[in-house]
Parts: sequence; structure tokens; C-alpha cells
Amino acid sequence: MAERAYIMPIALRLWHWTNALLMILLIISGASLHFTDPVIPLIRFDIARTIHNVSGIGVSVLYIFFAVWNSATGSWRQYIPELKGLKANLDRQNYYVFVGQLKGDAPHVVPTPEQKFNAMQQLTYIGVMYIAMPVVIVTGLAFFYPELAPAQLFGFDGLLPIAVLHYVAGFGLTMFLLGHLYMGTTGTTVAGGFRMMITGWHDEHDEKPENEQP
Amino acid sequence: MAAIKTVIWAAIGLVLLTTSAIAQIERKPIAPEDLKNIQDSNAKCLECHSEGGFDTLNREGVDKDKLRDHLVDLGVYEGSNHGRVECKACHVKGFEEFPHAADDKKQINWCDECHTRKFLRIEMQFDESVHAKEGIKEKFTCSTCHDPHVFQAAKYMNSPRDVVRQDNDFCLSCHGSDQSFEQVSKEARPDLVENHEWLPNRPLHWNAVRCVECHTPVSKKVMSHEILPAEKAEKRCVACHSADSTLRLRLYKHMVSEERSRVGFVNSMILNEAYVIGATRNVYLDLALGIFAAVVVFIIVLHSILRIIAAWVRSRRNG
Ligand code: HEC
Ligand code: HEC
Ligand code: HEC
Ligand code: HEC
Ligand code: HEC
Ligand code: HEC
Ligand code: HEC
Ligand code: HEM
Repeated sequence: MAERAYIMPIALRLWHWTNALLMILLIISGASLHFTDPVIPLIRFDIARTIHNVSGIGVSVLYIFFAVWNSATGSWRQYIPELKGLKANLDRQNYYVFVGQLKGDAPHVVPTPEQKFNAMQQLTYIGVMYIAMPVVIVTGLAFFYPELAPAQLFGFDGLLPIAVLHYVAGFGLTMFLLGHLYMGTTGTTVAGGFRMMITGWHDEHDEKPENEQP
Repeated sequence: MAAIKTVIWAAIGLVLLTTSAIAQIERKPIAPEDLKNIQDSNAKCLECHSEGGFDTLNREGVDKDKLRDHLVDLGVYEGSNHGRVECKACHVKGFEEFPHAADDKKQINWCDECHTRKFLRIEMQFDESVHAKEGIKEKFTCSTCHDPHVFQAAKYMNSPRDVVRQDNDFCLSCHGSDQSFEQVSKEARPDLVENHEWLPNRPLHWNAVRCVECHTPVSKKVMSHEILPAEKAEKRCVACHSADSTLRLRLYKHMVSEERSRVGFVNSMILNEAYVIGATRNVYLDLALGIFAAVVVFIIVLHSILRIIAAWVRSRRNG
């Protein structure tokens, strides 16, 4: 078995980091649009709007790349968890996060080019990439044409449900990003996961706890 | 996530259940017999001066070509604020007879006869206005904007959209038409699209807010008639797009007293008409998501601390 595996092609990594940057811009500008009378002033409304619109379109385009690439290469299968033993898998993953990892155990699912994600990642990424992202993008695009929203819906402006969905899904993505960043530090070395996403190589040495290395 | 979404949809459902229509301010009641007298009196004029009367009119000596330009729409008139005022209260003398006396036109009771105090205040504001320039001023009267047979004050209107339409038409009838503008000024008509390039979704905004929202100072009582020039006009988005939106003191002034927030929506009276980013958010939803975020951050911090401690313990044990 090779100790190093090249599992993140350059295009994928570029996609990932552009996406990450745009997401951060979207979150900050989105917050500025929503909380316009903040205690800590964020970005001015019209500037926030421009930033948000540009990066919103950017993320939508990247998402199309993702969707096309995923269906063309069959990579979407990476996201489908094995239903058999799913619960056990998740339990094992939770156990690892809250107990095993603290004890210094090595992770039991090591990413390979064929199977990059563990069951927990699969479920999260499905929620993020196939539910929250499409919701944010579709409602975001609808926000570009507020005049097309129904004038009234049950006595309220028709834009309200779009706005609420956009806000909540955007918030969900923000929470994902937080968790995702943190999870990135939980390969057994703090920087290992980030190194992989930069160099593309998953290094087995990274998975050995320092204190077990010779 | 699923739990949060349930909560949100439950909240929305609750909101919908408690939705109430906003009532307009009622006009003063009038005794039925008084109303009848007024209507009978006006009917005499409308025999000639309404579409219906005009079509069937066949009276000796009536110049129908001239009359055609002087028709009043009865339906619109009765819906207007002067709908229960006699024609003769304003068109004082001489119109009883026909043909009307030659200089009867000048014998109109002007607005100040009946609205003395408001008129004085408004006239002072008008003197400060961009329109109070030499050469233009003379061409402006109250009825340039307020057709006394048509006008409805905002406070009596049900729908802010209708208010916006009516009040913007005042300005656009002149600022949107070279023909009308020429009659008032020799200068070139300012290009409205160009002047408002900075405002995104312009058609949307102009259907949702009035020109006077940005082009007049806020005033507590009667809307200020001081139209502000470009440099003083409102350009800050957050004037409207914030919880503290000035729309509360302007377009939605007459509704604010009825409700400030329904089921946690700030400025919920606006929400009946328009979702205004920043101004119509829901404080409960914000709070719920805020708590959620705090919990996530807390777990992450806790987990980091545990990891640090665990690593330290392991290194002690192994080392
Ligand atoms: C028999 C038909 C007839 C009746 C009734 C009538 N008018 Fe007229 N009115 C006319 C005609 C025709 C003109 C246009 C010719 C003119 O200016 O004299 C006119 C013109 C006017 C004008 C416009 C003057 C101008 O040129 O600006 C006013 C104001 C007016 N009428 C008011 C009234 C009022 C108020 C009544 C009811 C008390 C009334 N009229 C009843 C036929 C009538
Ligand atoms: C509140 C006062 C008021 C009332 C009530 C009123 N008018 Fe007038 N009317 C005016 C004024 C002011 C003008 C002149 C408008 C201008 O020159 O800008 C006018 C103008 C007119 C004109 C000539 C302008 C045109 O349309 O060409 C007619 C005709 C007229 N009124 C008919 C009527 C009739 C009929 C009624 C009753 C149904 C009526 N008015 C009620 C104030 C009033
Ligand atoms: C003959 C007296 C008279 C004249 C002249 C008159 N009005 Fe009125 N106006 C009234 C009456 C009476 C009401 C209230 C009607 C009601 O409550 O049903 C009224 C109501 C209004 C309102 C409704 C707002 C409020 O505070 O109630 C406005 C705005 C208004 N008039 C503007 C004008 C303007 C502009 C002119 C001049 C073109 C004018 N009026 C001339 C009698 C007059
Ligand atoms: C440049 C256009 C313009 C001119 C000229 C004008 N107004 Fe107005 N006026 C408006 C607008 C716009 C409103 C909108 C507020 C509303 O619909 O209640 C208004 C509102 C009003 C109101 C109702 C305010 C309230 O809060 O109840 C009165 C009364 C009034 N005007 C009287 C006058 C009088 C009197 C004159 C002449 C001295 C005059 N207006 C001239 C545009 C104008
Ligand atoms: C009857 C025509 C007419 C109507 C109605 C009218 N305006 Fe004007 N407006 C003018 C003219 C003419 C000028 C040009 C004045 C000048 O030469 O500086 C002008 C100038 C302006 C300016 C620019 C002043 C500057 O800085 O140069 C603003 C802003 C403005 N109007 C707003 C409004 C608004 C808001 C309304 C409606 C409440 C309105 N106008 C209704 C004719 C009109
Ligand atoms: C959201 C606020 C807002 C609204 C709504 C708005 N304006 Fe303006 N308007 C402004 C500002 C701010 C400027 C100055 C733009 C600049 O300096 O670049 C301006 C400029 C103008 C000018 C040009 C003045 C000049 O010096 O050339 C005119 C005329 C004008 N507005 C008329 C209108 C009319 C008519 C409407 C309604 C249809 C309207 N505005 C609606 C904010 C607004
Ligand atoms: C005079 C008040 C006012 C000002 C100033 C204003 N807006 Fe708005 N804006 C509104 C209202 C009201 C709506 C809701 C329109 C609708 O949904 O029908 C709106 C809608 C919008 C929307 C569409 C999304 C939504 O909330 O419905 C955007 C984007 C927007 N405004 C951006 C801006 C920007 C950027 C500025 C400053 C350059 C600005 N607005 C200034 C009142 C204002
Ligand atoms: C992490 C991703 C995102 C977050 C956190 C986010 C957040 C927000 C928030 C909070 C608002 C204010 C709405 C309100 O107050 O109700 C908003 C508005 C808006 N969003 Fe997003 N959003 C995200 C992604 C996107 C995407 C992908 C698009 C485009 C496809 C988009 C387009 C818009 C538009 C058009 C508006 C209206 C304001 C404007 O014109 O800029 N957003 N967003």
C-alpha cells in the first residue's frame, strides 16, 4: 500500500478554494445586508450588495461545474453512503470524534481516490451540496428578480418565503463552513487536512499521531 | 437543521393565521340626507360635465366640442377627498346658469378658503422647494399636483401601492414627459434614469416607494412640500433598508400606530406590501439562529480544549 495517495486533482483544489473564498465573501456581505443596523458596522449596504451579487453568481457558476463534473465522472457516488450498516458507521464516526480521537486512535476510514469520504462526511456533503446549495442558489437567483415574486402570498409580500429560505439555507451553509473548517483540523495532525487540500496528496504520515512516530 | 426548519415553517404558519388586513383611516361620517342634497346638486352639473351626461346631451346652444375637454369622472370624483363636496362650494358663482358667465372661471374658491392653516404651512414649505425658482414658481399651483376632483390623501387610501402610483404620477406627469416639462421650463428635462443610476432595481423601487420619500425632509404632521434638490436627496440605502426605516415616518406613517411588529417581524406593516431587505427581518428567527450558532461555536471550542488536554495527557503517559 502506498503511503501517499494523490486524491485531490489540481482542478478540484482550485474549485474548492475559489468556492471557499466566495462563500466567505457571501457570508460577510449577506450578514451586512441582513443586519443593516448592527452594533459593529459591517460593509455598507450598496457595496455589500455588489459583493454579494458578484460572488453569488460566481458560486452558482462553480456549482454548475460541480454538477456537470459530478455526473460526468460518476463522482456523485462518492456522496452516497452505504445504507447497509449506516447507523453503525455513523456511530463509529461519532465515537471516533468524541472518544477515539481524544484517546489518540487512528481514524478508521482513510481517504482513497475511490472513496474520499466517511459516512458522516457523505451525509453532511449531501445536505450541503444537494440540498442547501441548490436552495441558496435558486432563492438567490430569485432575489435578482424580486419583481417576479408573487405580489402577495397569504397577506404578505411574495418575496418573504424566498428571503426566509435564502437566509436559513445560507445560515446552514455558514454553520457547515465552521464545522468543516474545524473538522479540517481533526486529521491526526492539525494541518494535515489543509495540506492535502493544498498539495493534493493525502499523506499517511499525517494520520499517525505524533507520539507514535519513531 | 430539520428541527429549525420545522420551527420556521411553524412560525410562518402562525403568522399567516394571525394576518390581519390593515384598515384605512375612516372618513368622517356624513348624514344621508346631506349626502343626498350634495349628490342632487352635483347631478345638475354632471348632466353636462360627465361622460354619461355628455353622450345623451342634446341641448340648444351647448358647444359640445368645448365641453368635451371639461368632463369629470363621477366615480373617480366620489372616491376623491372632495367627493362629498358640492361642485358649487368651489365653483362658486355663475355656473348655475348656462352658458356660464365669461369670467366665471376665475371665480373658484381656492384651497386656502377651506384649508387655511394647512395651506399656509404648505405654501411656506413650497417656497423652499426646488420648484420655487423665478419663472417656474408662477406655474405651480396646488392643483398642478392635486387635481381637486381626483386626489386622495394617503391616509385615506387602503394600499400603499396605490399611494405610490398616485403620488409618483404627480411628479412623472411632468418629469416623465418633455411636452409637459417644456410648458414649465426652458431647461432640458433631467434624465431620471441617469440621475438614479445608483439605485438598483429602479423600476421595483419606483413601484414601492414615492419620489417624495427621498426628495422631501421627514415631517411629523402633514407631508412636507419642500422638494429637495439632488445634493440633499436621500441616497443612503439604510434610510429605508434598516429596522429603523424612515418608511415608518413616510409612506407607512398612517399604519405604524396600528402595528409595529407582528409575530416578531420588525416593520410588519411594510411586510404586507413589500419585503425590504434589512427592514423586515424576524427577530425570533434571528435569535433562534443566533443561539444555534453559539451552540455550534461552543461545541467546537469545547472539543478543541478536550483535544488539547487529551494530547497533553497522552504525551505525559507515553513520554
Ligand atoms: C347645460 C350644460 C352645462 C351645465 C348644466 C353645466 N355646465 Fe359647465 N360648462 C358647459 C360647457 C358647454 C362648458 C364649456 C364652454 C365654456 O367654457 O363655457 C362648460 C364649462 C365649465 C367650466 C370650465 C370653464 C373653463 O373653461 O375652465 C366649469 C368650471 C364648469 N363648466 C362648471 C360647471 C358647474 C360647477 C356646473 C354645475 C353648477 C356646470 N358647469 C353646469 C356646460 C354646462
Ligand atoms: C374642492 C374644490 C372643487 C370642487 C368641489 C370641484 N371643483 Fe372643479 N375645479 C376646481 C379647481 C381648483 C379647478 C381649476 C383647476 C386648474 O385650473 O388647475 C376646477 C376646474 C374644473 C373644471 C374645468 C377644468 C377642466 O377639467 O378642464 C370643470 C369642468 C370642473 N372643475 C367641474 C367640476 C364639477 C362638475 C364638480 C362637481 C362634480 C367640481 N368641479 C367640483 C375645484 C373644485
Ligand atoms: C369649499 C371648500 C374646499 C376647498 C376650496 C378645497 N377643499 Fe379640500 N377638502 C374640503 C373638505 C370639506 C374636505 C373633507 C372631505 C371629507 O372629509 O369628506 C377636504 C379634504 C381635502 C383633503 C383630504 C385631506 C384631509 O386632511 O382631510 C385634501 C388633501 C384636500 N382637501 C386638498 C385640497 C386642495 C389641494 C384644494 C385646492 C385645490 C382644496 N382642497 C380645496 C373642502 C375644500
Ligand atoms: C409638486 C407636487 C405638489 C404640489 C405643487 C402640492 N402638493 Fe400637496 N402633496 C403632494 C404629494 C406628493 C402629497 C402626498 C401625500 C399624500 O398623498 O397624502 C401631498 C399631500 C398633500 C396633503 C395631504 C397631506 C396629509 O398628510 O394629509 C395636503 C393637504 C396637500 N398636499 C395640500 C397641498 C396644497 C394646499 C398645495 C398648494 C399650496 C399643495 N398641496 C401643493 C404633492 C404636491
Ligand atoms: C409641472 C411640472 C413639474 C412637476 C409636477 C414636478 N416638477 Fe420637479 N421640476 C420641474 C422643473 C421645471 C424643474 C427644473 C427646475 C430648474 O430649472 O432648476 C424641476 C426640478 C426638480 C428637481 C431637481 C432640482 C435640481 O436639483 O436641479 C427635483 C429633485 C424635482 N424637480 C423633483 C420633483 C418631485 C419629487 C416632484 C413630485 C412631487 C416634482 N418634481 C414635480 C417641474 C416639475
Ligand atoms: C431612493 C431615493 C430616491 C427616489 C425614490 C427618487 N429619487 Fe430622485 N434623486 C435621488 C437622489 C439621491 C438624487 C441625486 C442623484 C445624484 O446626485 O447623483 C436624485 C436626483 C433626482 C433628479 C435630478 C436632479 C438634478 O440635479 O439633475 C430629479 C429630477 C429627481 N431625482 C426626480 C425624482 C422623481 C421624479 C422621482 C420619482 C419618480 C425620484 N426622483 C425618486 C433620490 C431619489
Ligand atoms: C426610500 C426607501 C428606499 C431606499 C432609499 C432604498 N430602498 Fe431598496 N427597497 C425599498 C423598498 C420599499 C423595497 C421593496 C420593493 C418590493 O419588494 O416591492 C426595496 C427593494 C430593494 C431590493 C430588492 C430586494 C428586496 O428587498 O425586496 C434591493 C436589492 C434594494 N432595494 C437595494 C437597495 C440599495 C442598494 C439601495 C441604496 C443604493 C436602496 N435599495 C435604497 C426601499 C428603499
Ligand atoms: C453562503 C452563501 C450565502 C449566504 C450566507 C447568503 C446570505 C444572504 C443574506 C443574509 C441576504 C439578505 C437577505 C435578507 O436579509 O433577507 C442575502 C441576499 C441576497 N442573496 Fe445571498 N447568500 C448566500 C448565497 C447567495 C448566492 C449563491 C446567490 C446568487 C445566486 C445569492 C444572491 C442573493 C441576492 C441577489 C440577494 C438580494 C440582495 C442583493 O441584491 O444582493 N446569495 N443573501
